[in-house]
Amino acid sequence: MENLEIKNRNLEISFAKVEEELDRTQSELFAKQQTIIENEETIMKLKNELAARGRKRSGAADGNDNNEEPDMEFTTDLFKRELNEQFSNVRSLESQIDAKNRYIERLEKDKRIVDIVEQEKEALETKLKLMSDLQRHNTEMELQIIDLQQEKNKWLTFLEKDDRFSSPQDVVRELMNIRIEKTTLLSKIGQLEESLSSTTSQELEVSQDLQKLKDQVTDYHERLDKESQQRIRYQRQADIISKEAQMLRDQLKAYEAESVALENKSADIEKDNKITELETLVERYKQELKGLNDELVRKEGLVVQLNSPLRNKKRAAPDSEGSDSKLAEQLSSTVRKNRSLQNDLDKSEQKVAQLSHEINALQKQIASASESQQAKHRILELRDNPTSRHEAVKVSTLKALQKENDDLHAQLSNSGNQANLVPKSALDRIRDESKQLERTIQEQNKRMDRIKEVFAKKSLEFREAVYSLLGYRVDLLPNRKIRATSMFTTSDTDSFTFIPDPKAKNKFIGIENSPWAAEFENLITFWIKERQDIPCFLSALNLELYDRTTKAARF
Amino acid sequence: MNMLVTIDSEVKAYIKKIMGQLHKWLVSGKISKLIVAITSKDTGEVVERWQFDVQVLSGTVSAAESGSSESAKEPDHSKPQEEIQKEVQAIIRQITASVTFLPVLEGRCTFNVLVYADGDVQAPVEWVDSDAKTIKNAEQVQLRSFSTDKHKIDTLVAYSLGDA
Repeated sequence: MENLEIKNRNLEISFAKVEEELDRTQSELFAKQQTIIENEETIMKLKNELAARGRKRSGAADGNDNNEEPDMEFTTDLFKRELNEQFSNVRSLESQIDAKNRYIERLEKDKRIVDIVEQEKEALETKLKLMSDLQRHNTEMELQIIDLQQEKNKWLTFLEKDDRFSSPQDVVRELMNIRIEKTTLLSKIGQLEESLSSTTSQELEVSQDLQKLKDQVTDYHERLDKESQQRIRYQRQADIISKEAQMLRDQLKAYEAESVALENKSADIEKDNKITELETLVERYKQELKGLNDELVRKEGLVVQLNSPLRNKKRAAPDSEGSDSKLAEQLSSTVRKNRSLQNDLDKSEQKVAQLSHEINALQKQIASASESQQAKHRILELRDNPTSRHEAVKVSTLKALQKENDDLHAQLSNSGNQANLVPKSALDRIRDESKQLERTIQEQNKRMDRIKEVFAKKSLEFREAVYSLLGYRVDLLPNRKIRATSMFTTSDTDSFTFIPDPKAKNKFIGIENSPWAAEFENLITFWIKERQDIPCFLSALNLELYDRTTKAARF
Repeated sequence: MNMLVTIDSEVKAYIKKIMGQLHKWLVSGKISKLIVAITSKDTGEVVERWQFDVQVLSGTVSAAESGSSESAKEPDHSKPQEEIQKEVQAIIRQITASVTFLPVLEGRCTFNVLVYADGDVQAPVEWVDSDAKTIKNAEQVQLRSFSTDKHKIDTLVAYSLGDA
C-alpha cells in the first residue's frame, strides 16, 4: 500500500513536470515555426530579388560591366548557404518535435497506468475497510462462540452418562416425547380414576341393594318358617278335626244304631236335631279346613316364588358378605386415598432421582468451573492505552529508519555519482521527526503557558497582599525603578518613584522629583536624605496621608 | 507528602474510559484484580506493578442477580462512611509514602491499566486481551487493605530490584 502510494506520488510529480515541459516545448515549437515562416518569407523575397537581378542582367547587354557578376555570384552563394542552414535548422527542429511527440505518447501511456493504479488503490482501500469491519465482527463472533461453548459444556456435563443422546436436540426431543406421553398418561389416569370412583360408588350402591335384599330374604325366611309352622299346626288341627269328625260320625252311627235299637219318638226329634247340628258343625269344619288348605297352598307358592330370584342375586354378588355399608364406604375412600398417596410417592421418588442427577451435574460443573477459574481469568487492557501508543510510535519509527537504511544501501550499491542525493524515505522520516519535534515544542509551550498563568496569578496575589498589608500598590517600572502608590491618595498620579542604587542590588537611594514629592519635602529630607530609611518614610507618609483623609476626620 | 492530580486531558480521558467500564464490571462482580503497570519507555520492561485485588463479597452479587427478592435482606454489619474513608485515606497515604522505599524510576516511563476479569465477561471491542505484565525477580510489598459493605480491596506493589 505504502509502496503504491509512494509510486503514485512519484508518478504524479513526474507527470506534472512532463506536462510543464510539453507546454514549454510547444511554445518553443510555435516560436520556431514562426521563425521558419519568417525565414521562408525572407527567402522568397531574396529569390524574387535574385530573379529581378537575373532579368536585369539578361536585359542588360553582354557587354555590361563584369564587375557585377562575381558580386552576384557571391550573393547567390550566400543565399544558398543560408538556405542550407535554414533547411538543416528546420530538419533538426522537426526531429526534435518528433522526439517530443514520442515522449508525450509515452507519458500519456504512463498516465493511463497511473489512473489504473489509483483505481486499484481505491479498491484496496475499500477492501481494507471491509477487512477491519470483518475483524470487528470476528471479535464479536468469538465472544459469542465462548458463550456458546460454555453453554455446550453445561450440556455436556448432563450428556456425559447417556450415550443415547449425542446432542441437546435429542434430549429436548426426548423431553418433548416424554412430556406428550406424560400428558396422555395423566389424562388416561384421570379417566381411569373417574371410572374407578364411579364403579366404587356403583359397587356401594349394589352392596347396599344386596344388603337390603338379604334383609328381605331373612325376613321372608322367617315368614316362611312361621307359615310352615302355622301350616303344620293347621295340618294337625285338620287331622284332629277329621279324627273328631270320624269319631263323631262313629258316635253318630253308634247313636243311630242305638236309636234304632231304642226307638224312642221324642228322643228321635231331639236326636235328629242333634244330628243335623253336628252335621252342620262338621260341614263348617270342613269348609274351614278347605280354606286353610287353600291358604297353605297359596303360601307355599309364594315361598317358591320368593326363593327363586333370591338365589340368582346371591350368585351375582357372592363376596360382599357381612360388611356394613358404612364400612365399605370408608374402605373405598381409604383405598382411594392410598392410591393417590402411592401416586404421590411415585412422583416424589421420580423427582428425587431427577434432582440428584441434576445435583451431580451441577457439582461437576462447579468443579470444572473452579478448575478453570484460575486458568480462565481474562486479562484485559484498553486498546488505546499509553503503553501501546508508545510502542506503536516506536515501531513506526523503527520501520521508517529501516526503510531509510535499505534505501541508502541500495543507492550506495547502485551508483556512486548520485551520492549527494538522499532517498525519499529519509526525507519522510525526517519530516516525521520534525513533526514529533513540533509536538514536543507544543508541549513545552503548553507548559510555559501553564507556568506563566500560575506566575501571573501568584504575583497578582502577592501584590494584593502587599497592598492590603503595607498600604502601597507597588509597580515595577523599567530601569529597575519602582513606583509606590499609597492606598490613601486620592488620585493615581499621586505616587512616588524610587530610584535604584546602581551599585547594590535591591537598594534604593532616592525619590524622583515630582510635584507630589515636593509636597512632602520635609518627610523626604527627614527620613531619606538624613536617615536613608525608606520603609520608615513610607510608614510616616501613610500616617500623614491617613490624617488627611475623611476617615480620620470622623474619629 | 504531596499528592498530585493530573490535568492532562488525554490522561483524564483514558482514566474516564476505564472507570466507566470498571463500574459496570464491579457491579456485576466480574472483576478480580486491577493492575497499574509502569513500563520503561526505552526498554519496554515493566518496572513497577501496582496490584489491587478486588473481592466482591458474596451476597451482594447474588442479590444483584436474583433481583429484588434478596435486596430486602440488607447486611446488618454496614460500615459507616467515615470509617471507609479513613481506610482509603490510609491507603493513599501509604502509597504516597512508598516513594521512600521504591527504587527510583530511571528514564521516561509510561503506564497501563490491566483488568483481571472472569473468563465469561462481556468485553467491549475497545478492550483486548493482554499478557499479565509481571516482573521477573520482583520484590513484593503488601500494603493496607480496605473494605466496604460490598468489596474488599487488597493492595500490593511489586517492583524490580534492577540488576541486583
